[in-house]
Amino acid sequence: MDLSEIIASDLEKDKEIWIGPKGNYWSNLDIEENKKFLLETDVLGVEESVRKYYPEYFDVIFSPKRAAGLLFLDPMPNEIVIDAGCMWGALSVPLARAGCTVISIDQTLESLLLLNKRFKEEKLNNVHLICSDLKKIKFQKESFDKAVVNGVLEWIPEMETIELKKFFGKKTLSPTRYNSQNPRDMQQEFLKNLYFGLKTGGKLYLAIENRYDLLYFFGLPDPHCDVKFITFMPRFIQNTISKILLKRRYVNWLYSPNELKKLVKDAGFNDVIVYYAFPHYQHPDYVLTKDGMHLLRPFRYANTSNPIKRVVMYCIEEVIYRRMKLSFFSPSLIVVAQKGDPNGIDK
Amino acid sequence: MELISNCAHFGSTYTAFVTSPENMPVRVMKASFEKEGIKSLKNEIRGLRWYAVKLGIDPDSVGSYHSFENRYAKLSIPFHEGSCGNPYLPIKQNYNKIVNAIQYYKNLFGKDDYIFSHGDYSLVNMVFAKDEIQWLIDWEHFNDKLPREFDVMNCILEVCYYNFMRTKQLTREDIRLLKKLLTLASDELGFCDMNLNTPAKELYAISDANRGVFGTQIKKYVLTGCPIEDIERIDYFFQKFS
Repeated sequence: MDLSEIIASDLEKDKEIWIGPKGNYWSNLDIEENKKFLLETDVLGVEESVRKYYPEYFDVIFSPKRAAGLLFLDPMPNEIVIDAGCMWGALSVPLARAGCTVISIDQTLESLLLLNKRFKEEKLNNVHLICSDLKKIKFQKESFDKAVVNGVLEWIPEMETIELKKFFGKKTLSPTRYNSQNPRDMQQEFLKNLYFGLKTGGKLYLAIENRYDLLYFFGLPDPHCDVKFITFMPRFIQNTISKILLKRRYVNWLYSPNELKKLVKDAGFNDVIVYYAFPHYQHPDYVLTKDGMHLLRPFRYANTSNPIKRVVMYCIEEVIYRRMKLSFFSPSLIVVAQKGDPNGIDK
Repeated sequence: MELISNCAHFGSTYTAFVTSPENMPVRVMKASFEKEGIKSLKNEIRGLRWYAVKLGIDPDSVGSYHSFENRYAKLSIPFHEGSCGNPYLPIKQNYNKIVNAIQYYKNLFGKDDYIFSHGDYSLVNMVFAKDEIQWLIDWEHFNDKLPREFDVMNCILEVCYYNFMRTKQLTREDIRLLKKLLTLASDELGFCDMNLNTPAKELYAISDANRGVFGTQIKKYVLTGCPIEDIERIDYFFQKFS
């Protein structure tokens, strides 16, 4: 397959990775340790290296639980699937195993180099790796069948290098690093770009945390900046708190189920279904519609050691989620949206 | 669609209900991207087809299986109305169901059929109408070539274990019913060399001898995943009330 049939941006091949419009580094690992780690993988292989040096990320990379949401995308052999923000390939690898032609795009070259090794180890050759800024890459019109955006949308408004260990809950050194563009507009622009590239009938799989997860009200820190009680606040208060505590704007915008649905619809998609993932979209035990929430069994309480908390958590989950079906407070959201006929009737 | 299970029981398969527009489950879809999960799904479709033949129905009607180069597999099976058994209930309430399960097992697998077994013959995998079994689900350990005692003993002792876990005690009445069930199973299915005074240890020994077959899945069976003290304690009650 010729990549120029799908990617409109100029690409240059550097060894086995295609390089597109340059983006900034984003990884859980710092730049230097990432480079050192890559050298180790040559010796031990990817799986053993991760197990030895970063066991805390083993499940993030290899756990089969991460790919459960792909059932909703129903991957079929020979479909062209874009994994936007693939990172270490938690979903790219399963998609490739299912026989799809996978185009994995990420702006961190080191992540793609690791992913490339994973693909080689598994002898998967139905893949193309592109290192590019997700905001700048352009697609050919109606060129691919499916798109995956897994835990990426909230990071789209970030403009500069992120080494997560130096970023998460830490003050950033450059307070002027963010432009004044509205994060929602940037996210919508990104989704519109994917919409443009999707074939008619093509599907988007989008996974993100819910802004109104019940536990945020009980003091669970925001998963992107490690600040408590910020996630569900109005945007201007989020900004004020973030500027005081972290010296930066709050740009990792999350959404309520309806806000997210509207965002995706505003990007052009006309058949949007919101699913609710429990306990988290990254490793969901349940992905349910609002009507199906009676199928849920309480889940988070089991991880609580304090017996009083256990009982309270159990009751909250049983009552709020299972019986009252208050999906508004669910932990994570998975959206499956279809690109209908642009001239058809909006559903 | 509703995803209801993700890599449960140390496996790597996903299970989802495919629902009708009225949100009623019409099919069960299982999929896996991992070798172990694909093996389970293959086993399951084989088991279901064997089961269909035994029941005299069309084997193609019990499910469809698709795979891609042994890296991805998807199984779609019809949803069966009814309620699955609940091993957490008191032994007395489950007694009739287990008696029926033993009879059903005998009729299905036959006294002399040593080749196949269900492999996860738990009340949760039986669809009941009142106390009668309507359908068996979860055939992922079919063809694992387990000793025949394992299925029925696991079914009985699972209920025993959940009752034991509630108070760490078993009553004289519990033991009387359990012994009755074990004797029935032994008579019906011919477990001649089984010591019914130490059934928990017997089951543990069977599982232990088949660790290679179960792999990581061994922990999903309550009596093989639990501490050895619990097994000894259960057997203590069997001996105490013998």
